[in-house]
Amino acid sequence: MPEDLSQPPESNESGKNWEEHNPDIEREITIDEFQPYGTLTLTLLYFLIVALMWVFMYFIEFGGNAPSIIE
Amino acid sequence: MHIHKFEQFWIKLSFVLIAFFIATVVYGFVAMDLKVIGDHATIDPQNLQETKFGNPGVREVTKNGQTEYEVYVQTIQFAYSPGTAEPIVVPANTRVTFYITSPDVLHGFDVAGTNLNTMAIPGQVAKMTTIFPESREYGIVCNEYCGPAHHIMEGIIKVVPKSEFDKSNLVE
Repeated sequence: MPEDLSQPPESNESGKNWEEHNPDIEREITIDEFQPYGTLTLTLLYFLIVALMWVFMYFIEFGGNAPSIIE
Repeated sequence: MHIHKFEQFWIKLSFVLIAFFIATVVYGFVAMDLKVIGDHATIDPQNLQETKFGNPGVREVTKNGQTEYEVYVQTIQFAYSPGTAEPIVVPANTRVTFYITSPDVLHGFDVAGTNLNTMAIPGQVAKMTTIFPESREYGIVCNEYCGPAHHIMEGIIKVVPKSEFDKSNLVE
């Protein structure tokens, strides 16, 4: 049985490419034509949240938490 | 290897973020004068009785013509000596230097709600100087797991106005 699991089900059709397996596909584009602006927006938003949380944690929670060690 | 321009962009952004984190930490230590505990001294944890830790408590010292206080604290399973049985009493607006060590296991000395926080490591002395700006009580908690009663290990620092500071409780 483990040998069966290691084989993909359509291994006998391995000559076909991905598009032939998916006839609904309308248009093929190159990697540079792919423009994931949604992912870019989410990434920027995530970086912004991380940066703001860092500023809050470091300057307010840590730096502003007097009395501090002075020596 | 071809990398998509968006991926290139956020790989660069990740490096900018790392540079930003390092820059803020450097700014904190250079411009904001933040400090952390360094390695002050080592000590034989088996023979604390022969040192100032053998008679822990608040001492008055004169440094540069100013009256300051030194507090020697032993952290033990599961109490601060002094701090738990009786509070550590220090005056406000005065330099106070804590010397903290442990005769048994690793403990923490965290003055809750402040930046005063250190490990108490057997064989090492932690030293930190501070000025408490106002008279109030601060709680001390152990923030390093030290044994089955770790969660009840706590103490109190009582900061009193300079004029009300009772010097009769100082140790020699």
